[in-house]
Amino acid sequence: MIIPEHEAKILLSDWGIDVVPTERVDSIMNLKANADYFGFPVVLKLSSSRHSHKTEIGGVVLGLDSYEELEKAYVKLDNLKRDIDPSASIIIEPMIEPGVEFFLGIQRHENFGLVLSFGLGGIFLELVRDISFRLLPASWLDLAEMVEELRSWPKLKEGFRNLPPVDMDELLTFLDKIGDFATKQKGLEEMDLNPVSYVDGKFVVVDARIVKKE
Amino acid sequence: MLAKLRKALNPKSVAIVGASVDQVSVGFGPVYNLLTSSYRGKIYPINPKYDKVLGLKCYPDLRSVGISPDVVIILLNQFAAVDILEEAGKIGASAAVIVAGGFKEVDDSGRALEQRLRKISENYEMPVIGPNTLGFSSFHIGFHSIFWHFDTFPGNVAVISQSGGVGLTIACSLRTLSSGLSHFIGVGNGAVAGFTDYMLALDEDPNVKVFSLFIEGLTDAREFYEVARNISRKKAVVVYKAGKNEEVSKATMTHTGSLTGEYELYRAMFKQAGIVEVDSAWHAAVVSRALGMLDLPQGNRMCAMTFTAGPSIVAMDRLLDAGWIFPDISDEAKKKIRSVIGEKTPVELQNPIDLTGPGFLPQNYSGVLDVLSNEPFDAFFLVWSFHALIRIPIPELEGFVKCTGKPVVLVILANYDEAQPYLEELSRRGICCYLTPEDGAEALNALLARYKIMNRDGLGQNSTPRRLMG
Repeated sequence: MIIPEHEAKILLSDWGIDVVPTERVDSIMNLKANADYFGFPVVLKLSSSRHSHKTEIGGVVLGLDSYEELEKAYVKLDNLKRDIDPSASIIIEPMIEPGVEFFLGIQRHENFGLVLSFGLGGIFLELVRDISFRLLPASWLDLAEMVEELRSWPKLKEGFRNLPPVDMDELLTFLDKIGDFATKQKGLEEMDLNPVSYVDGKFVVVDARIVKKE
Repeated sequence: MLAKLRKALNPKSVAIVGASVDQVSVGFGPVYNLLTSSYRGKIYPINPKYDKVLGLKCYPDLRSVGISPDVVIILLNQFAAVDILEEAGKIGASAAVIVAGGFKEVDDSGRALEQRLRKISENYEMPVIGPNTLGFSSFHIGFHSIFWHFDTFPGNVAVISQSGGVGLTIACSLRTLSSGLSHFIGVGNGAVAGFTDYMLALDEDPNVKVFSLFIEGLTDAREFYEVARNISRKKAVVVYKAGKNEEVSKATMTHTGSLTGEYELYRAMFKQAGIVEVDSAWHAAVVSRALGMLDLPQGNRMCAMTFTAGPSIVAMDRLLDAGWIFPDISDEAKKKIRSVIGEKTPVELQNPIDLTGPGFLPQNYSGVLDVLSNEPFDAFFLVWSFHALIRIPIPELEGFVKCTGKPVVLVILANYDEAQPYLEELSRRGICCYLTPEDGAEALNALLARYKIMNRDGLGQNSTPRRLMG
């Protein structure tokens, strides 16, 4: 069972994990009020329990800068929703400033049990495949070793190019919280947090996909 | 089951079903190996064809032995073996070894046969070693019962291997390095007893200091992880894992019938469990020898000494990668070393210490060792370049090793045939020696890895990991 993105973010947020704020919208009025609240630019997404790979189906519209663009995107997603999953929700989120993007995955593996994977996210996930793995539950030291296995870590911790240096303690606190969440969630089968953005010294979940056992 | 497996690995009596006088039959090996070792338990060869096998009374069947043996070794084909297993259960044997192949690694009917084997084992609560295995040996009691030949002596490394051939390669490599074995266990198909059972069975055995495993694939990696993580707190666990790419994974699948999982997950799991991973049978032997023979360092300050520079440079490449550091020697020590090798020797004294020309004289070499024994290092890497006319300062090296109490690895640059007698002697005197600088470095790296594993405990959440210098 795929947990719709906005519900997945509530689960994470309840666990004390920072997520990009999300609101469900069901009318143009409602849409504008939320855009005013978040401030432009904003993002519209289709949050569905049938289709977890939103981007592939055109269910994500980024960088909306005006009421006009927003309305157009809303109509587009509303049509898409009717076509592919009438039970889906349309959600609005603020665009967060670009930071270091990470990937974080949880998988219940039939041989290894609960496995945490962590690495460079966004488009780099498949390009450079800089990921490391640990079995959960993992100790603080396991997590530290996991981070140090990343080929890009020496540069990330110093601050690569114009990116801010990534703080190890902050990262370990985040990974530890995710590990705790994953081991205590009943029936968790899979979770993809991609990307998780490191902005202003904090790790923020931008997109979340959670699959639970029926 | 575990208590019975422990008993089987330390058996006071053994029945050998299918014992034979034919030298090229598998039925010959176990009886021959047991008789030519120092085993003092009872041996019951079983074969209706013979009255005697190698001078021992031979029985027509298991029942006629009249006791419940600690272990029954079954050397018959797969179909007969499973029937005999049932008999072994009936007479109350503690455990059985099934040597034959032809089970899950072959086809569906083999899988069904293995299922039956497992059922019998459960019914009688009788652990089974194998099938598809060389068997096992416990060398400290002279229980050398595998059906194949190999030469070793009692030591503190337990080789547990999913493949008999690779297991033997590790065991023979250890022998080449002058290290012995506590046990040799062929896991085979692991239908009943697997790696975790063997490690748990030998967990408290004082003769075992190192587990040296060859793994093709695990069917319950999570269970292995939980067990290995606890065991690695007490004893060193070295793993050589096969099947690093998908092609090999397919090959291993046909070999033992166990699906090989993703290698990346294995690597992460090994690291998390405190396992020292190696990448060849020889590397497994090099590392197992060092872990079995040497005490762990108490830090990462390395001192290297040589009288020919290159070997310590190539070793340093590897040692630095693993986290060793090379602090400078003190001015006072430099002065003393200068007085040993002479003022005119054109060399700048630093660490690694290159004694150059005068260093090959045993009295100079050992004189410098004396100076170094008072310096604050955690481990030593020494190079000696063999010369048939120049004495290796063995007693001096022994004195140095004993007085520092720190791990010392000696690399002798020589061909194996010339060095072999010296290797034996050095080993007897507690000096851990290798023939290449790379092997010496890998040995020391395993010690440092093990030191780090042992210092992982007591790290709570939010505490900063203890940092090594450097």
